[in-house]
Amino acid sequence: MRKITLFSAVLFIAFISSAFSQKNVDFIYKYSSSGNPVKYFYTQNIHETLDIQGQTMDVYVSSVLGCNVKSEGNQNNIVTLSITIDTLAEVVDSPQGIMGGGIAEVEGKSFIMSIKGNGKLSDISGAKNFTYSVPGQGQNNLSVTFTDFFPVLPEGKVNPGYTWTTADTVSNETGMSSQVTILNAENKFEGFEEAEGMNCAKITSVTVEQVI
Amino acid sequence: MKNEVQGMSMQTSGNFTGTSTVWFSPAAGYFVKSASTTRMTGNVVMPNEGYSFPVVMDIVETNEIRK
Repeated sequence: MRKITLFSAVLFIAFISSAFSQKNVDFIYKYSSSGNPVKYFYTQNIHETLDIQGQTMDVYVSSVLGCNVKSEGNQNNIVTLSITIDTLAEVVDSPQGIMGGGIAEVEGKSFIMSIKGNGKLSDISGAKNFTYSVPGQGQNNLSVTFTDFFPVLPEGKVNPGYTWTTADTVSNETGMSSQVTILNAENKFEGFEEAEGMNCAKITSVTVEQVI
Repeated sequence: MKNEVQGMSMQTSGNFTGTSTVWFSPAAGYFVKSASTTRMTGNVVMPNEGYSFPVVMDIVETNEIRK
């Protein structure tokens, strides 16, 4: 009986230890500097409805971006990243016709940017200097795309159920546009879930942004 | 947001509300997937032409790793 009790106690401690280590998460970006880079495929679809003097006009904007991300080093909680563009395309479909298309000139080209350990932007100048021409639209750069490419995570060790707020103001300027975004978000670490075959921490956010 | 479309200056402003989900691998140290849906309601102003009209934008974004 004592053996069974002791065995149960050991099992219980092992279970508690396992559950504790599973729950307590330190969210830190640490892309690998050796081995294969991480490949991302980003898509954005916008349906814009304009009401022009009682007449509705629909505009559809589709963008895709494929890129490889690799670490160039990590120092003082700053992760320097090398980003190589695989694919970039932008198409605008409006009553005036279809504009844009694939942007072949950027394929295979790289730039350097840096983020803090929790994903907050540290230096976006490399993306800002990465310029390209959008057919029928003009000169653009990658700063808008990469300003919020890496989701900002909570700092320190946190458990599922943890909630936090994010408040930030971001300015962006490309050859085609300039904008100031005031961001507020309520975030929650929901727990663990498998994604793309990996054990992941799932974070949900409700966002309110004002664009000026 | 200020931009120029086919030679015309445009100013778009408004409020975006939405939800997003991120899946982050603590072991690997990077995000594996993100998805968001956002709705913007605001106005587009063409100052040189003297036009102003309401706009609604629905934005769907996904970003995921490819192995």
